[in-house]
Amino acid sequence: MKIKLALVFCVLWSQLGMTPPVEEVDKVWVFFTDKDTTLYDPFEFLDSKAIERRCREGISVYDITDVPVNQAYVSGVESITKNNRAVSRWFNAMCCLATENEIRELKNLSYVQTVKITNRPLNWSYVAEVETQEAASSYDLSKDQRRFAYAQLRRMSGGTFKANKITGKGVRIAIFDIGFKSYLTNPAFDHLRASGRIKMTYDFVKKKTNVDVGGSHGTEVMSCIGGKIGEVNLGLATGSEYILARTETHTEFYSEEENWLAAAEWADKNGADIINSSLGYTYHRYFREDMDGEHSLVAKAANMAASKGILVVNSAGNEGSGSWKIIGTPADADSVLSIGGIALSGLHTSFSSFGPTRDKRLKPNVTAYGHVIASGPKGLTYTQGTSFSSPLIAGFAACARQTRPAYKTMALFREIEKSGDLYPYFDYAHGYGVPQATAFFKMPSYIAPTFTFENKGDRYYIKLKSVDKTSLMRGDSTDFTYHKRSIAFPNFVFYHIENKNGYLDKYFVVNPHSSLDEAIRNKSEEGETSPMASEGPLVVKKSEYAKPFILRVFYKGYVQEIQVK
Amino acid sequence: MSNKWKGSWRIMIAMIGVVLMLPETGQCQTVLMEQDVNADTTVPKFGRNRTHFVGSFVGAGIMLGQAEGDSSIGLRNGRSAAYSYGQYYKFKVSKSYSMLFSATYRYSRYEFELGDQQKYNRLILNEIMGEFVHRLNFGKRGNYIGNYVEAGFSGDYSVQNMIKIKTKNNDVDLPYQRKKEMIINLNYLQKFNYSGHVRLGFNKFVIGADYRLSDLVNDKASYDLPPLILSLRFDMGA
Repeated sequence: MKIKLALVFCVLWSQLGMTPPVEEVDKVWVFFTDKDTTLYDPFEFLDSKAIERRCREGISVYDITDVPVNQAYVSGVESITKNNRAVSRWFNAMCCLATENEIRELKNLSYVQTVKITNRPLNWSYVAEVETQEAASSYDLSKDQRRFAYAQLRRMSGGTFKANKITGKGVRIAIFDIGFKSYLTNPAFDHLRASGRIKMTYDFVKKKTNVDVGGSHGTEVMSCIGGKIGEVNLGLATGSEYILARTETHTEFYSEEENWLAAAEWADKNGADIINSSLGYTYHRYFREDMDGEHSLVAKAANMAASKGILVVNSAGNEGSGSWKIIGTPADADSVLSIGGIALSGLHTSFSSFGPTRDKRLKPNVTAYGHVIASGPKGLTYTQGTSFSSPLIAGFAACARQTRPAYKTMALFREIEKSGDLYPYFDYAHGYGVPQATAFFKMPSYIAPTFTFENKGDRYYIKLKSVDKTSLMRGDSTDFTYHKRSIAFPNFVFYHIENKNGYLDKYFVVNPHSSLDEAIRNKSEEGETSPMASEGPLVVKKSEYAKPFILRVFYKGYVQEIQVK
Repeated sequence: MSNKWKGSWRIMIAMIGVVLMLPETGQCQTVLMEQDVNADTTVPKFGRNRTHFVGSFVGAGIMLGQAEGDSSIGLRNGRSAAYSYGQYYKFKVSKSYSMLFSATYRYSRYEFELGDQQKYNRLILNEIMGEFVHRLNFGKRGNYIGNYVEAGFSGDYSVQNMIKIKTKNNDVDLPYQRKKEMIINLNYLQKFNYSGHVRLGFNKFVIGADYRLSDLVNDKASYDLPPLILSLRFDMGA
């Protein structure tokens, strides 16, 4: 009997152990050898705005990557696998599920250059939302909500755009999300529907045009780009055009990156100037060291979109307080404007993912409020996450584009970075700070030095001066006193140590005005954080860092650096 | 004390009072953020899909089959169960292959068919197990357990064994209504056993089969207990 059961056990083992649990199907990308360009007419294939964008960017209108994949090749692959997931004209490739035998057959096709097995997927993504408080039952703004809505735009000196009648007019924004529930009825988009500015929709999950599906996330994100309740704007781009793509799904986790790529190609073809993607992919499928902007398909797709002249705005992610901690992909991509989140205090909010990328590039590039009032399917709601920082900046970028219609996209990208209220200072929590609309209308004014360095032996002392209020900050961000929990731009000292390789070793934010009590309390609660918590002037010990290094300090709008050799 | 000294004391007391009433408003700095980039970007060796990982799990299973060798001994189907808690160390050898070593405590309970007036009749084993497992993972993944199959062997030591029987008394003449019996250190059970295991894991959720390859009961008894346990396990992580 024992022997019999042992045999049963062996059979069971062989069944479970030697064969996979399900039919062995791999996700593969099939790359084709060539394209058929004979019938391709870009003026017919591409939207007129896509042509305009290419002209602005100095990109050839006849680009081989824009030519659709040869339909005969697609049919050929489909006759073998019947599991078509996505077709990419940019990469002249097709994604499908295939068994080992099917892969062998695919490789034998004369027009197949290579078949790349990606994975048997077990993939999840984050939708970069942390928490949504109980939704309000109506779309009537309370006094507090009204103040909050003003605050989230005023922090970017959005009033300057409004005063100059800049609403992102003429700019087409594509939003990739999990669906846009209630976008057809939501009062926050009345002005868009009335003027027919929701131009196009497509659900890349279900392969149909209806995107009035999914949870509240997409709708809330959209409201932070161009939503409006009565006369109160929730986002800055109330005059822009929109195309909406559903790329995320809760039921089929495998296809999101392919959907993102397909949506980016669709957005390109249909003339999008800006993509907002409050999405990202982290530890379920990648390691932290993969966040180099080149590893993931979605990062490659985002870079390709940028090379077509689309400004890709992506949330940094909400892993800041978790073990992953850093940005997800595609926020790691070189040409993606990655957006971190700040709290009402004006500083990095704990959940917002940190940079840099694996190869030590600056990310996030800029920041915006990660705590917002948004319009969802059930009403107005307070919500938080870098998902909402990203659309605030996407709306800002649309307005910036309207002020700089001739700028190439990467030039606009740099302008947005330069408009950051910390610029030229940066760190990997705040990037260049919060972009300021005022920077698009006037040259930055002279800011008198607000501190001096004193070199004494092994130490640099940063001695703060008392400065006149008028030289506090560029822009009107000091007006941000609408919400009782918000404050004007904090007069904190930001400083970092940049090493000889050009990236930061350490960075700090110090409140120079806290009382002795507060400092002692912080020390006892958090342990010995730094000697600066109890010392008078700010002190940097040179011997703590490998020389040469640059010490760069920001205080009240003034930035100065010294090179330590 | 002269008036002159009295006046001085008053002034001193007044000054001390003023000093005590002054708020503590000394200015200094508070570090609100301090980030060490190099420490953050070090590639760790410890993690779910890294070289080393230590995790824990809980499991529950049911014994399948009937006692062998003596048809008069029956087991109640679906009632005989095993519960386990363990910790494991995983060493990742390659992208898809890992070795695991685990230490587990298992509580096993075999429920026998009930005799007359019996409420329960069960054999209980408290075992500790040391296990060596080969794990094959499928698919590309990040720092994530992923899907896998694993096969391994374990040595089990029975720390304690006992039979517990509870009998209901319907005889009113007897001075009790219920009787509990406990028989411990059963000499017909083997202290050491060894088993084989196969498991199928879906990230934190695992289904598996444990098969005892040695006889649990020695020559002093004429039967053996079913060797197969089907189990569910939940990986609790680090």
